[in-house]
Amino acid sequence: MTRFFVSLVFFFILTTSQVTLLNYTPFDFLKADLGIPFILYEAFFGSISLAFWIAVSVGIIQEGFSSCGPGGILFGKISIFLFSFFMKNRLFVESQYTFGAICGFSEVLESLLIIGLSLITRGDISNAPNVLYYILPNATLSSLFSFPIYHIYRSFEQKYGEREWE
Amino acid sequence: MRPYITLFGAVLALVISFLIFTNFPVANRPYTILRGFFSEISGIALKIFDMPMRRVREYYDLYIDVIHAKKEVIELRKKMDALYLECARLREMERENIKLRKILELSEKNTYRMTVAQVVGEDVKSWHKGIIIDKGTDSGIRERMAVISPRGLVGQVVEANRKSSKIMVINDTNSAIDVYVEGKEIRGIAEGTGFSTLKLKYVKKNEEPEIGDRLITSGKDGIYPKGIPLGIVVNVDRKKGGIFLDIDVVPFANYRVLDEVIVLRK
Repeated sequence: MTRFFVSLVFFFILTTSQVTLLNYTPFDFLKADLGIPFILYEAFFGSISLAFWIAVSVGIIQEGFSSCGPGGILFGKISIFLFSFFMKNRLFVESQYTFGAICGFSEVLESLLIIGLSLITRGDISNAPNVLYYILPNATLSSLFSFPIYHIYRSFEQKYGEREWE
Repeated sequence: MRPYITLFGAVLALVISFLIFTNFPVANRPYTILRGFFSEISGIALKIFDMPMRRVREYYDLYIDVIHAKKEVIELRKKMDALYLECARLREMERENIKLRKILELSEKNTYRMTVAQVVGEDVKSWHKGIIIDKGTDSGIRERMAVISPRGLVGQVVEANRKSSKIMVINDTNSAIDVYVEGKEIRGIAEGTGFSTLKLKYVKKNEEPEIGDRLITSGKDGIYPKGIPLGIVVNVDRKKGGIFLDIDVVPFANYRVLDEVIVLRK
């Protein structure tokens, strides 16, 4: 449970800082998804049920910071959790780079899911060029931001031990 | 056994989030309350996080202002003299306007009260164009209220919480505004593309919009009051197939550099 609350508080602080800082920068392609590394780290190295609850919480919190229609981001986050659920025993995450690559791929997956969801529910893909335009920068940035998160978790585990930390 | 329970829960949550996305009432209503609660918390957090950033920005602006101050003072004095004359002329025109209105028995319609709000954040996702402001229902802000800046139209309120509100800006792909081309009998719909330009749609090829034409809101969509400047036509493509022109518009208000906005309260 400690791990769950620490993850959420850490994620919330990071996202709030990101949203505030973005307001002062002229670039709109610097929006890394900071929730994905938390979900994936927990799914690959921790408890799968905790990863599910982190995915749900991250989805709802991110929707609090977005003007999107309700449910879209939550759907994306749960889908990423399901991806990690099925890939947990198939992918071998041995370094920050593999972890970053999976985070980047998850961002791409989420973007494509949003397009698919719009197509199925509304029958239009007018949002598609906009979403596709940001796929690469978002995926790259999400990968880069996952490196420090990976290291912080690793250092926590080394310092406190996995059992205590959980 | 336990992972399969989690899997079942995740699939169920996925179905529920899908139903929420499709605005299925049973799923949507409780979720809107939950989301509103988190939006409330995020609004307060954004205000707190924005304070030091704003202070840094203020000091930086102050430093820049001091550098340019002397030069500007000389220029402003000259402008002020000209404005005194302009002011006197406008006062006379206002008096004349009131007199003419009385003659025509026209009353002021669509009177709006204005609430100035600070922009405290930007949408967390790249594919949604939105900003978060520090005023909410406590300040009388409601959903579907128009938001403007001194330069032009910014967007509309899509979610109003107690202490903060979310604004969908006109660049968002879900935004569509009924507009006129100023000074011409041309009407169209300005739609957001998700990028820095908008598309003016449903203008027939026999119409004559030109590059440099200004767009103003028509007031016919029930959200935006009439006459608010929206943007300028930067490209008119007549070669595109179909009966309508392909027109690109650059909005006057760049939402990425906004510090403050004005919410028009009905």
